[in-house]
Amino acid sequence: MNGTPKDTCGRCGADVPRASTEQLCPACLLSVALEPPESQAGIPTPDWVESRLPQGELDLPVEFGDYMLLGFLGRGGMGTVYEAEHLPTGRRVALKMLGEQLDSPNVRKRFLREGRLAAGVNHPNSLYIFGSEEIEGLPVITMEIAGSGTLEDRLRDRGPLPIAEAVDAVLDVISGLESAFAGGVLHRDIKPSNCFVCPDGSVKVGDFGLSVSTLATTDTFVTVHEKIMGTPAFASPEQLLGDTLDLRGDIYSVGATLFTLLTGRAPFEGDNAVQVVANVVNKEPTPLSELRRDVPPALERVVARCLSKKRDGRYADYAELRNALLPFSSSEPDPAPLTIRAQSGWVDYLIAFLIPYVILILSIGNEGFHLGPFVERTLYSARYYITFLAFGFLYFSLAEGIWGAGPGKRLKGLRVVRTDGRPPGVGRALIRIMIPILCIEGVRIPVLMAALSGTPIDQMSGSQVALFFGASFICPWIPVLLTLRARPENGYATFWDIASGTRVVTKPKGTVRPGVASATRPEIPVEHLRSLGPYGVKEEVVPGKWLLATDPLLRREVWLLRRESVELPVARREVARPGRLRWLQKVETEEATWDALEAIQGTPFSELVEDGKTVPWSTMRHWLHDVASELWAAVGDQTLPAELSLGHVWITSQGQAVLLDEPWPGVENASGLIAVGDLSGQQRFLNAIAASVEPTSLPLHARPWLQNLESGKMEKLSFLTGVLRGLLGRPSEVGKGIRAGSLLMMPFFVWAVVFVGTFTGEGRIPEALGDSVAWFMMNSMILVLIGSALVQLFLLPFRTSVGFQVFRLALVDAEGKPARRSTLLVRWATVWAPLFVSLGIVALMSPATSTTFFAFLVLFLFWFAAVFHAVVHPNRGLPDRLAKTWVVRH
Amino acid sequence: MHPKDPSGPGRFATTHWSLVCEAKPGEANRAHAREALEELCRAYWYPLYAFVRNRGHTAADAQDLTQTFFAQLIESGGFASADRERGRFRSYLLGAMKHFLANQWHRAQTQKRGGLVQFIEWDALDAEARFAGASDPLESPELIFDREWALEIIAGALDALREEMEKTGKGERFEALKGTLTGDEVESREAIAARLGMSEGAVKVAVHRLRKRFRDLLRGTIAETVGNEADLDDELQHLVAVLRRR
Repeated sequence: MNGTPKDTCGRCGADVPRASTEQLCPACLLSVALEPPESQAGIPTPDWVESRLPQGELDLPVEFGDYMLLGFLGRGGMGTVYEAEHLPTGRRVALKMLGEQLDSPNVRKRFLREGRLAAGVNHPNSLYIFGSEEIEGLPVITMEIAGSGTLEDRLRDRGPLPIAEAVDAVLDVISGLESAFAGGVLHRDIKPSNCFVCPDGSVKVGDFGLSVSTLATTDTFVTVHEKIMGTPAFASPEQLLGDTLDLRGDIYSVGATLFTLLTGRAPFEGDNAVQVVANVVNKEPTPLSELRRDVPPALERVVARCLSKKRDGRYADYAELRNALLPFSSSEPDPAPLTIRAQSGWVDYLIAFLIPYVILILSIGNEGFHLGPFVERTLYSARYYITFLAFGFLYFSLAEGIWGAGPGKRLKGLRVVRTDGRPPGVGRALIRIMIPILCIEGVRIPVLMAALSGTPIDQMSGSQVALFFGASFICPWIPVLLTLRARPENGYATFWDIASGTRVVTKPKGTVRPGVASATRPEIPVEHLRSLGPYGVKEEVVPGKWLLATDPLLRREVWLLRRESVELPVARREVARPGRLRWLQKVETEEATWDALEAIQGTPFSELVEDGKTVPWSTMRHWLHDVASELWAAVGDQTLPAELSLGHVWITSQGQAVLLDEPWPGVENASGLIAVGDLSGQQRFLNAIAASVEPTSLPLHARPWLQNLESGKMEKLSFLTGVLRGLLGRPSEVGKGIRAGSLLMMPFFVWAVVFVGTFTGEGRIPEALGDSVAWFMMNSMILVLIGSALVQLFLLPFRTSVGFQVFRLALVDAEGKPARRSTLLVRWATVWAPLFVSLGIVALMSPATSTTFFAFLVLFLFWFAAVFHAVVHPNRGLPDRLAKTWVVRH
Repeated sequence: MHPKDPSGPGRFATTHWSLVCEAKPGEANRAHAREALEELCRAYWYPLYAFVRNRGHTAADAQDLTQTFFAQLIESGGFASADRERGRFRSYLLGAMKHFLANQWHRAQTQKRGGLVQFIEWDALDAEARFAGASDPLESPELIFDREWALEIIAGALDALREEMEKTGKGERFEALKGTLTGDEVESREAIAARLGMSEGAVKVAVHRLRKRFRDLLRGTIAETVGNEADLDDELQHLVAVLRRR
């Protein structure tokens, strides 16, 4: 026996029984050999140590290259992350160093690839990569620091998150991933511990350790030292099976993350990785509602759709997923104004009641349906009437109760919700529809019963007939009385809204920012470039002053601006806003000092609008909002240059406007430099940008704002930005569906009423209209069109039409002003004259034969071709071209 | 106590796959390689001895078997089948020993070959005293072999490090700082600095250098027992894992 006293290792806690290794723990000793070379001051330690001693195993703070390591933040996919201060600039960064999972060339390559992929992403919801360097032989990546831990930390500290908070966080994650995807990167390792929380509560996506370029999606089975990397609990089945990946794999992981945030547990669990993998691939996840009661069924469906085993079952892109999640976010939905509700309600009423009405009238006739119940006064005689109401009630209670909206509300972007934001359910939806209908019928039926009682149908007096029709026309207006208490303060609550505990809100919708195509520059091999600091100079934007360079490690482009004067202010260096380029570092050469700023792919604004080119409002409003927000923020932290010109505006390929610190050279600016030190200067600058908006794309609702801007009337920059933000949420373009609706809905409705009305009145096709169904159709159509033309003419002085009013459209001239009445008259004539003149000529020239019929048909087809053209070109149909008008949103 | 290594500090230079290959009959450098191999066998006798003992052989039998195993390998070119591409020297040696034991080599045969060079001087080693501290009937002989192998390597690296330091007159510093090699702060840096009469910063640097040199020595030793550089980290991880299994 050797008799050595037993001891324990102070580091790993193991017994150290043998004297053979100087009474030191042999495992810890041997682990030294696993440390990366040149790990000065012994910073990284073997991973098992760190997993047990999450913090403070290093004597912090400690200097490391140019950095002072201040605290341990965590372990990422490939290494250890410390909070650090860059000593020369004072910038706080997260410093990630290659872990001690063996510093092999392969791992190094992977580590740098992470930096490279993440460096291509610049979005407020993605951790920004400042740079990559080698310190004391160890590769490190410096990145933005989020500051408040990860979603996993939040989950651990607080348990499952409130629904709105979880959805808000995931919406942020979606935005970050969307921008990464736009930059050609799939994340592939989304999970709560890779989502970083900022002090303001926003969430940023980080740790692109497993990401791949979308160009190489087959590299799915990433292994390092035989370990499957990634977290199987959050990985999609196709990722675990090694299939090719697309963004729907990330959408799966987003769903799994949301599931976890809501329940505190991953959708699939198991005792070991193999079990988890098997469950992910084979099992259906436990329904959310079984784990948490207050999850609305619609949200449960969203999550289940994300977690679908087959990717075709998931959302196809982030925009779709965002729109599905927005109703559950903390953003308060806006109450829907009564005018829009009335329009959408009208569509739903037509579907719910006109369809059964038409069917019943055609099949059983007017007497059996309308008058029978009043005469016979039995339940049996009212069976058709009850069926009619039942169909309407069923339609509303299902459409609004389950899906929150019928087609009419959907068309107008409205939704019925309970006052707490949840779907109303069938019961409440039934109450909603029964109240107005019972108000109508509760008055109409007793009145008619009293008046018509016992009178046989064919003996009804003139006054009785008048009463019948009068009651039928007046009573439907009774519900209007119930809307009189609706105010913006109570969410435009009508009586039936209050009684059922529901409200109608506008459905929040994420606006899609249109991107801008930018020329891709040819790839120049880095070896051939002149080097300047860590960068290789590719070309000179302004000779000797502004260089385009490339970062060979991160393979991203930077701009180097020669510093003319004193040090760049700290505030400018710290700027981390989408509206401004990020400052990366200072590069000193013998001749000069340079500031390295990120170079974002894009196009100078001045180039986009040169030679009188214009930008549609749907795009321009985003840029105006970007610039206005940046002006506001820059005034706040005093980083705004004294003078700006249009050359200072850069449009990234993702459609974001960025303020450059120096004007882009080359393009002459008509407006020149504008001093933006005060509010009027800032408004002049914004107005100079807005001047390039395409006037014929401008909705009427945007004109007052632009006029105020032009006259410099806005009192505060924040007010200006706020109104602009409101404009971002409003529909700005005329879609094909809207245009088709505005053209066809009114004539179709009138035609249906005329057709049914004539048929029910006469019981057959009237002789005056010809005796065949074809002739009847033709004649009724002509009648409807004549009626529509007359209504349009009648409404012309009010500069609107029924279709335009319902769908909130307007006609403008080439300058974007509402079209003059004379122009509208010309347009009216160009629409209707060709049809009626030619129809009249044909009718006068020949008697009603089949030849005339076909001539009519051909003329109709020509005319409908013009209608079709107007639908295909919703902004400018054929009559608009002739009358020089444009259709815009009201 | 840890028995002093019979072959001295130079042994690390010789434990190498290339030697094994060169020791095959017919190789040009055979004589030199053979000499070096003998040293190699002396360096790694103990893990094999522990393995044989754990297979149930008596102390005397185990000594003879180990001795014969080495003699047989070296004399008859038993390493001929060795091929550096085949992987780790540790596994190779263990495999060869298993093969040797399985082939019913008897004590009698050993005695017949008694005229061979005695590589290992059992009397000087106190093999049984060492084995008593290491054996555990519940563990597999293979695990014990691997563990002893790892300990052998660590001990060798520590010895080499000490001797290096002593040569440059820093023996005292080694004794003071060796506790920091594991990363365990048994004694604070300040206390060490005070004891050695150095600044804290200098202690930090010295600790770092010591760790770095120790790391290099460990990796150097293990590199010589694996087929290629890429296996090095795998071998290291395996050995660390074996040591943690207690």
